[in-house]
Amino acid sequence: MNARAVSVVALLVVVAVALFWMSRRSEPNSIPTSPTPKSAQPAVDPRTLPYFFSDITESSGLAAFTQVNGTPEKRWVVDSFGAGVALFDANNDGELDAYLSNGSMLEGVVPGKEPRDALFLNDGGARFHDATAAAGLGDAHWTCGVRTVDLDGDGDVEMYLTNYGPDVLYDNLGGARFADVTAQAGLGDPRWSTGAAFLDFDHDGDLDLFVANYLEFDEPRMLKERPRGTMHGHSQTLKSGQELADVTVMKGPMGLDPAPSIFYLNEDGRFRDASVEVGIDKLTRFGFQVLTFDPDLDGWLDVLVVNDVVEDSLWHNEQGKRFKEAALNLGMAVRQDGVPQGGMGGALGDYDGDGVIDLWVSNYVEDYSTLFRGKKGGFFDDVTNKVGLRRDTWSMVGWGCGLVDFDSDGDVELFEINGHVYPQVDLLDLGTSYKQSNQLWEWRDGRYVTPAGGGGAAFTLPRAGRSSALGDVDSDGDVDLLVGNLDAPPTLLRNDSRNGHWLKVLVVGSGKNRDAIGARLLLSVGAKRHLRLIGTGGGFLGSNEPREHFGLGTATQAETLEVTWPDGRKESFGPLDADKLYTIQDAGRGGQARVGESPIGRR
Amino acid sequence: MPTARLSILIVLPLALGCDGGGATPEQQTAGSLVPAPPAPAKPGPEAQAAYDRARSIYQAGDGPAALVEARRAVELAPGWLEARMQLGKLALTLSSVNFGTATREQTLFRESIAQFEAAHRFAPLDVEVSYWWGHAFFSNKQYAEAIPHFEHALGLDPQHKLAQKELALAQVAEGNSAQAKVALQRARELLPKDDEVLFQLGLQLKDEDELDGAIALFQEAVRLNPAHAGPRTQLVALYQRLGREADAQKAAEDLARSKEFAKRLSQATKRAEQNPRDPAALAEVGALYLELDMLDAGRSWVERALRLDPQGAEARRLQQMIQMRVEQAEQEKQLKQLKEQVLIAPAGADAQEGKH
Repeated sequence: MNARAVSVVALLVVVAVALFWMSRRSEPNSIPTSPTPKSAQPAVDPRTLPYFFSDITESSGLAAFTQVNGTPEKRWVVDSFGAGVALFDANNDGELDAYLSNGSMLEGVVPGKEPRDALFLNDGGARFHDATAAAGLGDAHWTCGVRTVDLDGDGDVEMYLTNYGPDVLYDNLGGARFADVTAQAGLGDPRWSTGAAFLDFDHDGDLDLFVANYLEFDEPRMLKERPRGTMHGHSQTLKSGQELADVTVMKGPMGLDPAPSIFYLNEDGRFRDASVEVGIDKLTRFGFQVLTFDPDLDGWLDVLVVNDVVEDSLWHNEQGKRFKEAALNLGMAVRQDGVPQGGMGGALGDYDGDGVIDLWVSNYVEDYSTLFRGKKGGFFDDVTNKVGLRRDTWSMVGWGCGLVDFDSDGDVELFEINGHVYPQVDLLDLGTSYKQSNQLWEWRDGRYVTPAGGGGAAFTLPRAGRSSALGDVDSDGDVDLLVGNLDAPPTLLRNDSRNGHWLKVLVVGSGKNRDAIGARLLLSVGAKRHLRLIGTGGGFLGSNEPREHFGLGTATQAETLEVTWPDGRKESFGPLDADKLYTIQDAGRGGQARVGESPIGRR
Repeated sequence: MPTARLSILIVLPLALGCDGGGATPEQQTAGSLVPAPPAPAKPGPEAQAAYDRARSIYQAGDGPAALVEARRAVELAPGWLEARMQLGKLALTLSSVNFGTATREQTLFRESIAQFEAAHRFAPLDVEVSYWWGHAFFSNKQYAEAIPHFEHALGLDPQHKLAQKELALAQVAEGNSAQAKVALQRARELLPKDDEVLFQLGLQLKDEDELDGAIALFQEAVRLNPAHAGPRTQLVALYQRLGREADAQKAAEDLARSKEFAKRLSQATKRAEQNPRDPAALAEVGALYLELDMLDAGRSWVERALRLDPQGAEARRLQQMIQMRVEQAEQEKQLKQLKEQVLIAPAGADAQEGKH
């Protein structure tokens, strides 16, 4: 081909692209399929970055899985979130495995081609294979979230799936085989559930269950309505002349009715809906993430529900008899100026090392994600402005989130998984986009700041991110991150940051609360105190691994580890050498816990 | 997901329709201390005509068409400061849109910024230019960018109330605690009846564990603006923290009631904004402010309704009520002063008697 011909072809290509683009622009609802990433970080030498994550999705084998979540244009609210992911040891081999939830299509799918959840077993070194069929898994419901827990105290990890449709409980039979025991357990509520958490509400030794529901979705009516044109709450003609009303977006949550949460009491392995008797049935909110902790240290685990659109809820446990909503009185229902936020995810941790648990809540766009500093007595102050997080989070829709020491230096970083709910936002110039970068902040001189490179190009590549799960998938001692994305494979981000020394602790409870949900760990390293809570359930619709990670920085030893068991007993251990996994087995009242140390990884 | 915004900002009718709103009579600049900016370039007749058309079209309710004329005026007279300022303000006003939540269309926003920047080149010593440049960034939540412009404006006119207030709020939003405190204290001197300034000062005190002082400021903010959810929310948690459970309970109930009211006010304001030529819609907002005893805010909505329909019965009734309330407040104030004098006098007399 000569130069002239090349020029002609090039010109034709340019014209064709322009015409195509113009035709797309003329259709108000056409969504750019691959919007230009607006905030991807330029490629940099990872060795120069304090935090660096490598995308190992392909090499790990997890790229074989693609999440399906309704229509590409997100015609219904049910299309707009899900993709719950979990990291846990499904087969007790010492390696973290991955559970990846899948959605569906409201208008139906081809029989036999239903999108199904998947279990990927870790063969070591973060190389996974699909073990769904052999494990007896592959739920075809529209799964939003997954909560892992050893429910029967047998040492194997069960899974509770929150679905748009009946929830599912899988019993782990051992050897990476699971059985659907939903009916036997008295579970399977058909409402649209999102977050779930297990806790021993009444101190009877077994684990009860709190499930948040999102909203009442009248599917036949919604399918019939088929949103067209002006949507509730979104009607707006741009004063510049552009017709925003022509941009069709889904209806909800505003304009639809919120749903009440459900609380189940565990009665010898069978769950009974006790929502009315514990007093949570009357309050309907758009519930998302559920966290359990004891902010006022009264010995009873409370339940925090991060709600979309309206106030967050803090269900204070009234000594195992009732729940009493107390979020407003404790200062964490709304942001500091009294405005309710569009809450999505939530996570707990002690960011400032004062020994009091703090709360990090990811929120909707045109608002900030909120850092609540815990105060003694169970109170909270919104310190988002003060620590410098307002601006960074304003244009983002945050979902998965967490407080974690990624570089093991002893300070706690924050992260947030982002993605807008409306693909249509890319048709407008609102300073935000459908696919958004994940964000990372490090604690420096009393403020949270974005580190150089923001965690690296793989971390910040814009995606429609939703769920998150933290865990050490390659058994190298640091914390990696699994992200559930909508309509795409998950992203497995291997933590290749420069690392200090570390220490991991797995606490094993006695009785049926084998996960020791409600235990507190306080590790002393020099002048620093590191607080961790067990089984709180941070993130968004996912499950983090149960081993707690502590960064020690340059220290090679921690002086003491104080464990407060769920029943309030305290035991201290130490000194503990760095770079090891410690398993601490509760011996129950009157006994003395056993401490074992081992390398991380395959047993 | 879209968040219901139930808190109410005091949204006042716009004088020209594009002045950003929010300026109560008290908040307006108390007179410039600096020399007047250089005289603007004289517009030609065509530019003047376009400018006038922009004003009248906007006042008739057609923002996009007004924008076209305002742009034309600037195009015809690029050195005309007033035209640039009005185009900047108009673009800023029109950039405000709702896409699930209140947000800004960035193309128009950038146009607005470009106009203020150009205006600043022509008139670097014009305090209003600097204020508006900062205000535009402030309204787009770009607080760090807004701060130097407010500082510049205050360098030119230290009495500029809105610049001082927004500087303080920008410092708060940026987490610059020390600067925020200084700026808030100065804003309080300039705007002693501004509920937001008092609320933010209360938050500063709370952060310093000066809880009694914080409570007093929150109570005062609530008194000034009963629809402000911020101080009410803070009072609930603070009372609870101090073990004053009955007070916490009452504050929570008050908050719930105020939220209901705020919802009504929000809906009425939205109706008025969507129907800026409907005197009944404007008067309805005025009536709600009157219910809150926020007379300045109520009056400006009612006056706006009366400009559209001078004979409107409801607006006239509200105007009379406001006048009555103002007179009543003045009488109460005088009575209070009289009582204080009376109280002081006997004490003085006793002292005198004792001396003797």
